[in-house]
Amino acid sequence: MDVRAPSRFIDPRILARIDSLDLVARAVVDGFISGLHRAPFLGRSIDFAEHRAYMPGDDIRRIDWRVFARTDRFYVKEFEADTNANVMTVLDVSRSMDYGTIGLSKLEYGKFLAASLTYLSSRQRDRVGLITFDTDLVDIVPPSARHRDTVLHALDHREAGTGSAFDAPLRKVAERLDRRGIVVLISDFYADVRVAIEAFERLRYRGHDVIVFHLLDPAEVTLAIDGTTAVEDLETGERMAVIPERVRDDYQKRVRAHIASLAARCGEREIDYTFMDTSMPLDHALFSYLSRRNRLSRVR
Amino acid sequence: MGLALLVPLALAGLAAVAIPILVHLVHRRHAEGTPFPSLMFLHQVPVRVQRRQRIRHWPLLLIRCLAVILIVLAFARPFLGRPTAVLATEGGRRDLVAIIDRSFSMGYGNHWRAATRAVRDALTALGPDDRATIVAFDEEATAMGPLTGETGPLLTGLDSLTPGERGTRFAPALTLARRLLEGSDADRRDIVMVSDFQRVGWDRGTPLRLPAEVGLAMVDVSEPDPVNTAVGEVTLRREIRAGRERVQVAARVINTGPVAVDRVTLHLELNGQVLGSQTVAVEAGGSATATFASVVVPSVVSRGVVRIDEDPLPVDNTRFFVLTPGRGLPTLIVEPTRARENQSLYLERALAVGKDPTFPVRVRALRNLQLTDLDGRRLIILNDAAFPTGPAGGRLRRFV
Repeated sequence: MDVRAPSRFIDPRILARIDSLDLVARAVVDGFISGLHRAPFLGRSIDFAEHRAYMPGDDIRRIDWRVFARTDRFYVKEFEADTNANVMTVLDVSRSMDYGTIGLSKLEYGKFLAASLTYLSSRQRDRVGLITFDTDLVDIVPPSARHRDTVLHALDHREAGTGSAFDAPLRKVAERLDRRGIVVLISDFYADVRVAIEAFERLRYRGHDVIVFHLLDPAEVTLAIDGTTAVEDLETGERMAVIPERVRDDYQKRVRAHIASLAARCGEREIDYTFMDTSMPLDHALFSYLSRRNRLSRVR
Repeated sequence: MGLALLVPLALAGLAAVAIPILVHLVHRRHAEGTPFPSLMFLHQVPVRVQRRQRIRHWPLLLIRCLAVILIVLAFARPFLGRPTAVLATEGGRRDLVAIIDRSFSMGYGNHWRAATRAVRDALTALGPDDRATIVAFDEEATAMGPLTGETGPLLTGLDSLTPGERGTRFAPALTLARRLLEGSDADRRDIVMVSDFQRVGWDRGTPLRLPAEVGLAMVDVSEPDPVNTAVGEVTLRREIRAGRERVQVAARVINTGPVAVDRVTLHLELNGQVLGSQTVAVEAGGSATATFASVVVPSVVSRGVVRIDEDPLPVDNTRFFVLTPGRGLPTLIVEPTRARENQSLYLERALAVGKDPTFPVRVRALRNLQLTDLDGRRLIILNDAAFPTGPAGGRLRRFV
């Protein structure tokens, strides 16, 4: 599969200049799809799979009357991915997400990503929804085929909240999503790996396919801070005197270990984990999502 | 000419100079912080914080401190005077006018004792060739006489003075003192004013200027947080209960001090007998009402007193009132000979509503009306009855 397209390399910093989140989503998704040689993920819901004997309770509209005319027996038609999936985007809007050094913050990047995935899912006739959270759930848009604009509107107006927590909000997310579907989780994951994995597992136990996008600003990965300074935690206000030259190597090592630990443990639990820094084009994330969506569609 | 302060307590506000200093320190600390999403992957590195504690922008800090100091000084109300030179005895022949405040507020606590002591000290410090006099003032000013070298009579007159019940006005006293010193040919002419300096005593409408060669010293005998409660208005509510006239006394307590008083006990006395006590709490500068249980109105004119326990100003701790009995209007209703049943019922009910005065009512049928029935009656109502005949009718006719 070749995912290269004219807009394949649209820089997120350029997208940040577009006011309308809807336009951003269209630009990303349309450019991405036009670059595919074929579109194996579109129109799945009308692909015929097989005939099955009619069972009491089946919708009579699904009876194949031609087969009935030939065999005098009731059969219903079944299709690949007959039921549209629920795609719920869960976006971290805590204060730490409001950090950016390349012209856009992680929150803005997360919004672009969420909007693009919502737009793409909606094009595929999936039901789309949104949950944002910081220390608690903030926005809740239930999944629906008609909620694309609602989701985009909610994303567009969401500002960064206060502190962050994973355990309590994601527990509530798991309790709210009773129908199995795809849960796309976008966050910077400043939490203990064990806590984050437990939160993912709760979603997995309820039958959801979990896709995790781990966002960090390039400066967070490398500790791009100049000179001795007091570093202030955006969420807690806590201060720490830091000499970047002395701690940079250790810091980068810890960040890499954190990312590696998350990736490894997600892999063990069949959770798609994608690390992205905010300078990366968005189609990388879309491809990761479509791969997962494709695997889900083949499971009836 | 020395610099003195009318409100020296305001200098406590100089502590506010710490505010700009703190602002400079805190502001600098904030400016140095570098926001970062999380300290999760950072570890502490010892950094010398001495530089952080230094103050930058010294000129700005000094300007801010100076502004605070000037504001505080303005509230302290500085003025130019010669407070210390006046009481000195050196420097040739001297004429002195000692002004002593004898207004109502000087009865507070030790004010009067301190004031007389200050005047006495000023007089005894005079030399053999010096002259002096005393001016006592409240709303008006009175001199004990012209300037004299004999301080003995002045001290005797000072002992005979007591605080009065009037308010305070400084202008008449200073005007009189200036007039007394106008004919003086002494080398030094001084005025010592002893008072608690009630703010209301300064009359801004009256221009007052002392000659430049006349020195003025002010001796303030006031206390910083005066405590005083006073009995204010006393109200009497009369009622007729079980055929007897009763009165309920309510008294207002006023707290003129700047501090709340938790317990003020009021006592009600009638003809020298204590009938009850009430305790109330009064906010600073506020008032409260104490209501006593109702008592039977004595049959004779009675002298009542509401008093509160002792405080530094005893003059306003007592409120007198006079209680007169029977303020009712005795009423006689005359019904016709063949009166309906309960003919005067509604009339009686209407009169019973009256409280001040009350209407003690007696009802008589026309045929039973006697001359003695008219005794003591101030109001006679003929309720659909003919004019009485006989002796009672004759007396009534003569009255009309």
